[in-house]
Amino acid sequence: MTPLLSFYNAYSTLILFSGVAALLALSIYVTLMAGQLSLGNAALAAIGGYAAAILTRNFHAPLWAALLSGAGLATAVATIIGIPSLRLRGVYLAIATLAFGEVVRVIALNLTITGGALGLVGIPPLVTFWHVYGTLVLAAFFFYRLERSRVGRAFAAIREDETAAQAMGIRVTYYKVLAFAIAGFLAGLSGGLSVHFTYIINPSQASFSEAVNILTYAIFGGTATFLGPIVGGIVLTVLPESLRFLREYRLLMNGATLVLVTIYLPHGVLSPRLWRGRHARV
Amino acid sequence: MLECDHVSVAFGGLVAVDDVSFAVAEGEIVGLIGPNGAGKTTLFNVITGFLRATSGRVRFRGDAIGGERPDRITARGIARTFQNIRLFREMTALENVVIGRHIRTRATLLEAVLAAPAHRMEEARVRLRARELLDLVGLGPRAHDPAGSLPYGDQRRLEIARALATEPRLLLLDEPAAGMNPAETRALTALIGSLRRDAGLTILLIEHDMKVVMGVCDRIAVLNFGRKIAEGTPLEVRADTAVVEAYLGGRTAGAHPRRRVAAGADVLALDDVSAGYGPVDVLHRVSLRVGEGQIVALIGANGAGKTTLLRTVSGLVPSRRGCIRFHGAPIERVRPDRIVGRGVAHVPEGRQVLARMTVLENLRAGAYARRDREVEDDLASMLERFPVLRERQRQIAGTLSGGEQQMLAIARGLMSRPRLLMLDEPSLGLAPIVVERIFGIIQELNARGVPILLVEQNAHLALETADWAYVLETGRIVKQGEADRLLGDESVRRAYLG
Repeated sequence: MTPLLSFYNAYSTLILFSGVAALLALSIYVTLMAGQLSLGNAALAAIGGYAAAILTRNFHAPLWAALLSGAGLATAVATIIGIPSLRLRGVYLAIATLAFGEVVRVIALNLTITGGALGLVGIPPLVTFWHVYGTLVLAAFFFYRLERSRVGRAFAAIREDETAAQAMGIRVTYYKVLAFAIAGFLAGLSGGLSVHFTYIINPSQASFSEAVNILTYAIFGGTATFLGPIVGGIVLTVLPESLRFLREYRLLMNGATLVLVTIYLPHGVLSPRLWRGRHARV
Repeated sequence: MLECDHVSVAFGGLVAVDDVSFAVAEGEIVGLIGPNGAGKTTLFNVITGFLRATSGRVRFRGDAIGGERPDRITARGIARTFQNIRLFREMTALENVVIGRHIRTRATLLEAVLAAPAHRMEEARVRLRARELLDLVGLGPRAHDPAGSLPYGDQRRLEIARALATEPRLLLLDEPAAGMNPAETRALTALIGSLRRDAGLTILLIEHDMKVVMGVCDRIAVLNFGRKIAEGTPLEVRADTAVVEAYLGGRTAGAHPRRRVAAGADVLALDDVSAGYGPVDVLHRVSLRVGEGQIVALIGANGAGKTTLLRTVSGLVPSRRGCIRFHGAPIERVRPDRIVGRGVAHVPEGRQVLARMTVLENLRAGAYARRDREVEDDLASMLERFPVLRERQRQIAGTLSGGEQQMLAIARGLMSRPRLLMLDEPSLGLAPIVVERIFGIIQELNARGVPILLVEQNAHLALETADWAYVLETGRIVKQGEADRLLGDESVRRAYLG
């Protein structure tokens, strides 16, 4: 057995979790690109996860079909919640999407098909390293191209000044909903991926703290480019594990890291100021 | 090309535009003038779809466009700039113009992700066109500067380039010359003329600078309190008594000659001061004096460092070398709030009133650094001196018109009982009649013994008002002298007065 393989075997779950966290961070990043602070991603991931799990566990559907169905359902839901949310801005949008997450959690808690409070167990172990990291590479490539396209520029324009964006002929409504839909797809996909290596899913995955975790990945990594959320997702998944020796102080260190990053690197670890040089501001 | 037919806009009970009709023919340049708060920008917002008219119709090339979304109207060929500059500040100048091409590009997300040849070619064309437009407005060399870091005049030109990128047939310009000095204004006037000549554009223009309006417009419509009070050629409008009363005002500023004051003891003295932002020095070894009882003007092009100089005195920008003395005591290491406490009042560019607070609260905030018991007395005397503010004392400051906000900003500055008043662009964006009133107030304050340091794009007005003046060029004082001498100086005339 090669050392690399034995390393993977020892840490496989952590490595898979990191990849999923990076995907979730990208899903919140796409709405942030368009200036929308949406906190529904944990719930969207749960929707994708439940849907995919039911398909493989109860109906023995092939993995790819389950993943795409889960992602598709999450996309549809994201689009539907996206449209009314367009009237809301800033913290109000954040609150509305958090409430949406709570609704999803309560529904999952009460339906039989989702297994109620216990959730679903015994989900088939179908997802490997290549599924997660293949998806992540594809997603990263997607964002790399998106940021260099007219769609990415439309997102950025909306983020900086909606009125001016509209005056440039940008269909603000359309692009906001598009950002929500892409976010839904990514979140749903990562939910589907994760349930097939954790083998369980329960309503707590749509909880408030999960939603905030995802936001933290993006803030920690920085939202200037797609690399920030990826780095944030991976680092913040690995960090708590590598600090296990601190035992009960572990969570304290987590919090301290975040506080330090927000104070000293307010634009995230991968802040553009670090590599692009400083601009004089007048 | 454009017809407004009995257009009215009401916000609640307030009628901002009242039954206005006018038309713009293809290839025309039409000016829209009137006092601050006359409804000019509101009318722009109706034409571009940002507001819906309460009644009346707007037609563009024969089609009714009232109630359409702004992006649809842009697609039809109407582009605009904004009075309060709405650039994408964090993006570079080039990126701003590239975004303007959005509506004229077609590549789908899929093509972009797959890097399809069609997408690549389109991107190349977009960048090429954006470069051309930047060159057209003279911003070629600044293509990669963040838009927010450009000087005011450049930002205005960048907005024009961005609007042009949408390939309009009708261009709406909202105060394009605000914040430009006369030389820049002349270049702008030439640009507007060439847009019609070379690009065949039709232009509707809101502008307070009468030189621009009279220089380029074929026709002028005048609004006052939401109503059209006159329309005609520049000559007809200028002769119209209603227009003169409402807008142009009786005298040209400076017609009241002022007794020039010789420099008394130094109130403010800068010696060899360098300052700037980040790694770049904006001011290079500047020395300047304001004497007791004087009005000192600081003129220069956009980006010369005038605002930075005021901000350095206020302690908002740290000085890197040299010495700043206020009544003899060095203040270059003193915190901004303490500098206010010592009696330096700074009325910033663009007013910066506390928009969500009432007029009274703004005035009280001006006295924040004071500990004495006479604040209420000063408040009363301020309301007496500025009757408009008394009428509106409980109104939210953000809802005041531009001229009222400027008066509030000055009054707020005075509430700190300053021993030096620094004014940054007090005439910015104001109707001639309001500018006249503001400068009357400045002279009156000075007559009561407040020394004044005045930064002003309107160099004529500044030099006619001041005792002594400095010319700042790329962060260096290149000339100084008695203000009326500079007014006659050939090189100053060429650079700033036109």
